[in-house]
Amino acid sequence: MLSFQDITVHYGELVALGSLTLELKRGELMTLLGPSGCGKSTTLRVAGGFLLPSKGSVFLDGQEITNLPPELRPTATVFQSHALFPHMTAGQNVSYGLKVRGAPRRKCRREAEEVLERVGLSGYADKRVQELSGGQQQRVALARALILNPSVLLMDEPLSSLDARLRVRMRMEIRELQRSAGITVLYVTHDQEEALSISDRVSVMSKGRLFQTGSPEEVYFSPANDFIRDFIGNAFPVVLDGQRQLVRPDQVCPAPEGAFEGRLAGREFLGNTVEWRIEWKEQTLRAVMLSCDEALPAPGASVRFDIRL
Amino acid sequence: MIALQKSPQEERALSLIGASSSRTEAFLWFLSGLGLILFVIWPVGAVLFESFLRDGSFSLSAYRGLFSKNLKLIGDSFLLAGGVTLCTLPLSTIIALRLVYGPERGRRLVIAALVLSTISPPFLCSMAYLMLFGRRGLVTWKLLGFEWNPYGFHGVLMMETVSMIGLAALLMMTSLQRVDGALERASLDLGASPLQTLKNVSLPLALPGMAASGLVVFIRSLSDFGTPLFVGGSFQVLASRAYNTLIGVGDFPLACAMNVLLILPALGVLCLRSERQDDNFSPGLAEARSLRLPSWFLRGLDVFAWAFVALQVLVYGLIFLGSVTQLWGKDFSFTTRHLAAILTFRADSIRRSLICSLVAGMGSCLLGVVLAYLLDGARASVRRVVQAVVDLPYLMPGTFFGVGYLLVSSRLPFEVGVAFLISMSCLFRQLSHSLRTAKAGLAQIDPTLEYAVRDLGGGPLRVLTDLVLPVLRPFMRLGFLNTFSASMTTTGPIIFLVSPYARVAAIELFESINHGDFGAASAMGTFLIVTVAIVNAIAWRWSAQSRVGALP
Repeated sequence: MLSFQDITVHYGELVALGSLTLELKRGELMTLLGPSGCGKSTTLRVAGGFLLPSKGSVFLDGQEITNLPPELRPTATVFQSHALFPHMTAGQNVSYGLKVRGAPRRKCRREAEEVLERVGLSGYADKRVQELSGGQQQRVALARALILNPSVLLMDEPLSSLDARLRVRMRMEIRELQRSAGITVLYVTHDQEEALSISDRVSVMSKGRLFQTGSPEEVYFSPANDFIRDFIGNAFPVVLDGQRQLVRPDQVCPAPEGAFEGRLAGREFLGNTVEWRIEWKEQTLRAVMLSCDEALPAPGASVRFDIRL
Repeated sequence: MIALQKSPQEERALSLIGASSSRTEAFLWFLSGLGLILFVIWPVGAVLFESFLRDGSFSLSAYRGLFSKNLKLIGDSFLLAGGVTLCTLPLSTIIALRLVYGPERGRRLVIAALVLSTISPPFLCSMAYLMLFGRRGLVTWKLLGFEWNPYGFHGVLMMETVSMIGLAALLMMTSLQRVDGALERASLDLGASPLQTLKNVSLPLALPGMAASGLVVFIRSLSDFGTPLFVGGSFQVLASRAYNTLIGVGDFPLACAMNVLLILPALGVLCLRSERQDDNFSPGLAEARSLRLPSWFLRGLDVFAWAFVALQVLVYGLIFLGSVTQLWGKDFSFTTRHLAAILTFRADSIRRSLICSLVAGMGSCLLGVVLAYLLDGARASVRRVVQAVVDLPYLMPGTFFGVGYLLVSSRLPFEVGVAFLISMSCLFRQLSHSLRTAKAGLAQIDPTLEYAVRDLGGGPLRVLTDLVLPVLRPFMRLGFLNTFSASMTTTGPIIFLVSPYARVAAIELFESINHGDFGAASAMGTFLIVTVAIVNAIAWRWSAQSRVGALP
């Protein structure tokens, strides 16, 4: 339904986005994933109408919207900084989109309370936004975008200002809300775990180019190139049978009957998982396993392992 | 975001000299405290005290006289100030909107016109107005049949409005620029049109700043005595009557009581003001906004902005013409005698003006930095009190401050130099602005930057020379320029301090206008504008070069 055709964006000399073509399906949550400066936020700003592409077109349900200003687009954005209006209450923030469309005050109020309830903030309509915690502000920002029933919801690293635990909880809530309401979402993040956990499909970008679009499993297990293998799978290079290959740590599996033999050079305990550094043929390999599965040898001892490519 | 992320100031921005600092710091506290007491609290207190005296004993007679005979005067003063504020605010908002949201083209020119009007001597508008419509004015004299009485309430209202627009528009521009662009984008995204966004988001968020500039305009209008004197005719206000009462009648208690009445609004501002307003100040221009207002709307704004520029050109054109005209209104032949005259007969005043303004400028930017540093580590209560004492002279009428200096110096057992008094009064009157810029500069220095210098092996001196001074330099320059320009052109605080033997350029200008000598006045006005503009241009050129290396 939302599709980018050959979008190019220049910032002066810099090519922020090089002929990007991408299509979102109705009701899916697609993530744009990549390191900072990869063009993912630029893509979102083009979708929201805040940035005119130097070349290319944007279509929504078959209609071209490339030059449509933000206020006329049926998209709604959840901004990175939340961008809540500090001079309005939570309820006024949420109903702002209805108010500027001339909705009567009673209707604004009623709908704002309904949406706030959907995001778990019933009874917060009259709070000043400064009184809300980070997570609550995040919910208000979400409610403010949802009240307009946008065709596409655009989310620009919405969780980056929250702490780690809250981030995990909020991403589950966003995912549930999105599934139950069937909202189409374009979601920008630089956190691969967040992208894998929340998405129907992930689009991996780097340096203004789109490399691969696929389900989380596809981009993880069948990455299109070494950049993705490294960025998402945390892979490292190994020379196997005279050939250079990128191997993920979870592909290196210690086993008593393993085909390879190396020396345990280091160990990093991460709680639920544990990572070994294994020296093998003057190369350093990394292996990751569940802590409860670890059969710990003495440091410097020889270990046997398999590589499952 | 403005309000959402307000972190309490837990850590002091700079500890500078480290553990051995307490002695130095105590000394700095002593010096600046002494300065504030001697040059702010004492003179202000003296005026208050004097207003309650009659023949050497306590009496309310001055106030009784003020309220019984002069009620209309009081009413007129506040009516005028209110009217000027009401006229200035919409006009300057329009110009500020043009600057923030309008096209890049022409912006610098409009800003230059605004800045020029804030740094030029006061009363120039009034003079240009009289040169056109006065008794021997160009229009009334040359183009006969034009019936128009320039004197009275309407004249004062117009002239004060025109001369306040520059300052108000610049203040308004800063508060509009501080509005977070992300909020405007959010509003657009939610379906508000650009004009709705302006009305619902940008303007409400800029409102505190607009209110503050409205108050500045109100207070300035209330304390302006020159404009009513020149174009008021029979219309008088407290400030001009206080001037006449002092100069003509010599009734100190009555004049002091009038001045006390004039500082009431300033005291109100001090009580109401929160500390937060000073955050987020930066020199230079913010980038263009993403909010695209409709072009018909922008064109409308443009008309007002360029009308203002045209008006300024007219005013300065007339002043310049006046300075090379034999005798305005009688003989319009070309001459350089006025310009030559100020350089020969007024050289002493000009030299005194320059010296006093340089001293005041440097002093106030230094003291501003010292105070900003001290206040940064002070308790909140101390900070509030000191800030109020610093703001007081800036907010109250210049004449009040000047009368205070006159009262104090005339009762000292020894003679105090006129130049010293002028320098100090200008220094402390503009200290509020210098302190604010210094604070903004200091806020840019992250404490971890200081730790980084120390950590990498730099001593306290290195912190000062490699970190603090380079960062503060553009801010100090701004403080210096403001004080210098204001001191060159101010009259209120110093008009009672000068003597026939020791005068300054701005006072010469004032008296020339008062005598209707447009030739001499124009020449002095031209000279003052050119001097201030040159100094400003030099300093901006410097700061433009050094900003490249400054911190973001």
